[in-house]
Amino acid sequence: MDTIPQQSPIYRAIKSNRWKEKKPSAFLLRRQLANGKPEEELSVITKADCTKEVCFAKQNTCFGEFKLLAEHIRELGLDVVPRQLDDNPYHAAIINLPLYTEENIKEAERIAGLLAKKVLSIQLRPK
Amino acid sequence: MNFLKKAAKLNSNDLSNISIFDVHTETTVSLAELAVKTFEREQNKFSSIEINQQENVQNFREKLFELTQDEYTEEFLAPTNFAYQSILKFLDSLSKSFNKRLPVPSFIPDGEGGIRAEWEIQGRELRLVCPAKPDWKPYLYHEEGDSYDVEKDLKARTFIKWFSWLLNE
Repeated sequence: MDTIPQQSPIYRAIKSNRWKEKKPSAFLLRRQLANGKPEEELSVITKADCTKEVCFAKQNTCFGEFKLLAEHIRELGLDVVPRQLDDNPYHAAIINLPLYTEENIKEAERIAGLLAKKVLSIQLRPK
Repeated sequence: MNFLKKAAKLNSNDLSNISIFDVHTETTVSLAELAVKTFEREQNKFSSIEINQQENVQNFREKLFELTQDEYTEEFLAPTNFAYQSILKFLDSLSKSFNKRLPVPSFIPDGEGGIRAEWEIQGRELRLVCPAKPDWKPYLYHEEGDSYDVEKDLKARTFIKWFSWLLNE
């Protein structure tokens, strides 16, 4: 498996306009996926060249991306690894996060806050 | 002591003749006037507490209502009625427990139907999280520097403790 270089930018989608103001929410795993299980990896991308057309075609609620650095994510004891998808070769995942379950709430909130502090910049959705 | 002896000899009709120095207004007033002023002061104090409580509730509700205007999809769910009711219950309880104007939080949808209320003041953070459904318990997360923890027993005294801490009181 290819590794993601330390200096590689990592982008996390901003799914709510309000996440721009309060970033920790963007770095919490989901409690429950459609299959009933908790989410185990945080979905990210290593290249964000979103155009207006791509954004509109996907019809999703993405307001832009938070930009982080792979090195900074690893400093927190986490890792970021490639998870290529058929429609996105730049898809990756932040792993080793505490699951967002009842017994892990404290650590999940803590690490979400620490990741939020690692955000270098915000790239907004093209208008 | 002399004053008390003198006062004890007077009947109620004489009370208005006694002059007293009112430390609040720094003026000399009759006992009757002082009684009225003290009553008014106390009444105003209680009125301002009531105003603060009402303002807090109204400010919280107005800001919370803005969440209903946001965009949601099947992948990023709108807050549930349960989440709204739950957070309103806690915010009302918080307003009643705290007799002063409170900072309005940022309300954030978590995308799974829950609502988060977040405060941050001078490096101190509070996150009140009300999930989408009763199976998931609400909690209050607090953090300052390397110190952090979560409270799951959300009683009035928990709010008083952590909002006093947030406001550095």
